[in-house]
Amino acid sequence: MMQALSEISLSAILIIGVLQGIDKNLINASRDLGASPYETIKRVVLPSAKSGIIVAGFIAFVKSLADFGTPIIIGGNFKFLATESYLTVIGRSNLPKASAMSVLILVPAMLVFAFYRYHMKDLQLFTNTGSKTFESGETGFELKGPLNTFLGILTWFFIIVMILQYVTIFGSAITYYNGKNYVFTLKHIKLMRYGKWGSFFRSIRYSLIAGISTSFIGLLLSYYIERRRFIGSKIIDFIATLPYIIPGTFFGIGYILAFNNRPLILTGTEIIVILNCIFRQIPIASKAGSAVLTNMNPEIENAAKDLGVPKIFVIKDIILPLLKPAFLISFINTFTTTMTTVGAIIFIISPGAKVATVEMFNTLRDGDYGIGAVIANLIIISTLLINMVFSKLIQQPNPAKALESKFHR
Amino acid sequence: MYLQLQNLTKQFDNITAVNDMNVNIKKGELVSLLGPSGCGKTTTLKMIGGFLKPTRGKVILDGIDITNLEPEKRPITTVFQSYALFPHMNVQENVGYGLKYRKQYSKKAAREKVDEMLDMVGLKDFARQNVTKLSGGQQQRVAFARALILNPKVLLLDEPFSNLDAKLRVKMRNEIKELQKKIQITMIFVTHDQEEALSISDRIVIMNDGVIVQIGSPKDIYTNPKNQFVADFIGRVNTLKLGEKTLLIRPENIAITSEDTGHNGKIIQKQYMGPYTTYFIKIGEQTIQADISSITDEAWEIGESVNIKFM
Repeated sequence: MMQALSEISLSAILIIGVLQGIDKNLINASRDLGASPYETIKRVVLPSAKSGIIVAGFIAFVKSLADFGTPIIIGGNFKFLATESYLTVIGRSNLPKASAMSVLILVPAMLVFAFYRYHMKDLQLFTNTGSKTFESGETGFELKGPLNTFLGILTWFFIIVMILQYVTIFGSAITYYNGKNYVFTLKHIKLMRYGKWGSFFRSIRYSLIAGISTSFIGLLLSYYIERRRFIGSKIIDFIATLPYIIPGTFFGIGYILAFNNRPLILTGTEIIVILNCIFRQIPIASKAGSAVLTNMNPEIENAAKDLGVPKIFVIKDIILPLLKPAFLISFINTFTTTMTTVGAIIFIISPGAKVATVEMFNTLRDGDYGIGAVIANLIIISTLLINMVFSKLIQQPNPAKALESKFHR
Repeated sequence: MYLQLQNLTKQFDNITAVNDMNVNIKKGELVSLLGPSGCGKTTTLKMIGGFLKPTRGKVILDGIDITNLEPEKRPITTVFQSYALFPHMNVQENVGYGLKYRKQYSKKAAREKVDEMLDMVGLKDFARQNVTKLSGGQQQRVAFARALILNPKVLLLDEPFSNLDAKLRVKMRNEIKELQKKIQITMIFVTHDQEEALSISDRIVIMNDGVIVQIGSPKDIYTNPKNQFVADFIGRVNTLKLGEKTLLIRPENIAITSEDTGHNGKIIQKQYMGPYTTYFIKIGEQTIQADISSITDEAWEIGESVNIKFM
């Protein structure tokens, strides 16, 4: 239930993306040929969005499989692969066994990954042609009857549950239960001063560093993959995409094993945590970069060269400014995931340098729900703030797109 | 000769896009590369601009072999088909961008040069305008100014008018021809539009399947097409078999008359085109088209038997 609730939002974003990619003329054509809205959904919209829905479903599946924050806190006596491998490392210091367990998670994850790449190809079919939106005044698309009511109730139910969830988190932070009633209190917030603020600001610092580094590396990578089609660029693309789909626990254990010995002893340092977060999110940065680059006319780059500008300045003056939206998207993504991640980094942080999520995780495990809720709120609010500020920046008209659309009119 | 293409050849895998091309271009000449899509004209342009490396052959400019020079090192600039303006820069930044990395221009000198250029293409009032807010014709002028400001030895134009509407196309074409006359710049112009090529070129290079079919002045090519392909591609042509010999004749070179000329036919269709009317006339088993100027047209009817005269 908890897993479903937390994955619905991500799946919705994915599926909305796919739905927006469907040529609206297809829907108009269907209705023009006499199909009712219900039939249109069944025969045109759903088949078109099929790949997107399947991909979203599988991503949710893998994420749930690898997630252990949720089950360890509310899972009770049920055992999960990810939590078991966590306890094997932390509780019994049995690294080989934990690795073996993580490999078990890896198998379905790899299957999904192959599936995902296969279906992503289909998705691209829909994204390039035709008009994407209904023009204002055009007949919209309204469902009528019991189906509409049912879908409406479902949607509202979800929204209410989501709101309740956040209200509860917020409420727990500023109340305590005295046996009869919930009473307002600031004691949880005051308790934060025992080293907890430190981990919160450490989280922010890690997230900022990871966000900026990831975006730079990812965008450069996408540039080399898209524009300098060198031999092996496909393979590099594949390798760079892997960390995203590999379960976090697996990734974390891998880092312990890789950096425990010479030449690079990094276990217990800050660098290893940041590196881990960077490499997990590079795929998103490079995909965002690729999306902008494929929409960008290569002639623009040629034009700069043609004017006698040295290559390095072409990248600085032309490529980087135009990749700005991709940079922002990737920054938001990395910042958010680094702020909220538990699975991958719980193994590799040193006890003296905890991050907010791990701190929260520990307080919850100790039963200090109030303090846990305060940390949760801090994470939510800071992430939300960054998201809002940067979304605003993205919404500024993208010059590359503006020129393209004028050009094709 | 100013610009020489010698045995220029480009192969992609097994496809030969341009095969053994030899063209000599004089200084200040405007030469069009004309042909159907896929004939190799854009590939040729890219090899001259340095964006593609020829498989064989040479590009020689002003006596210097530039075949292996990078595009940024060539004294050649291009007006791209999509204009390829930098969308994050305004008009004057776009136009001045190429000067930024030339040491001989101080900031002040560069600014003056940009102003001068914008004045020439009539965009002085739009200097600070975002290029994405300009109309198609204005964007075209920015692209043109941006390429010309570097005083290139050769200016390449890759179907520069293909994104403009018909009226604007004619206007821009006149502007560019005038500008070219004024500053005496050597220009190579790629197009698939025969009317465009005829109207502005000093010479036309007709290409098909990667090879040159004919080179000549517009008039030369229109009146003396070397073969059926050229005749068909430049304007319309009737292929009429008269006994042993085959006659290639333009529709405007046919007159309809009631006097006996020895060639008798029947009108099976007519289309009013404004300045002229096209009559479809059946002669034996063949159908020819005749364009009759609206001034001399005697309004022949469909089904009427007429005599035709070749002029």
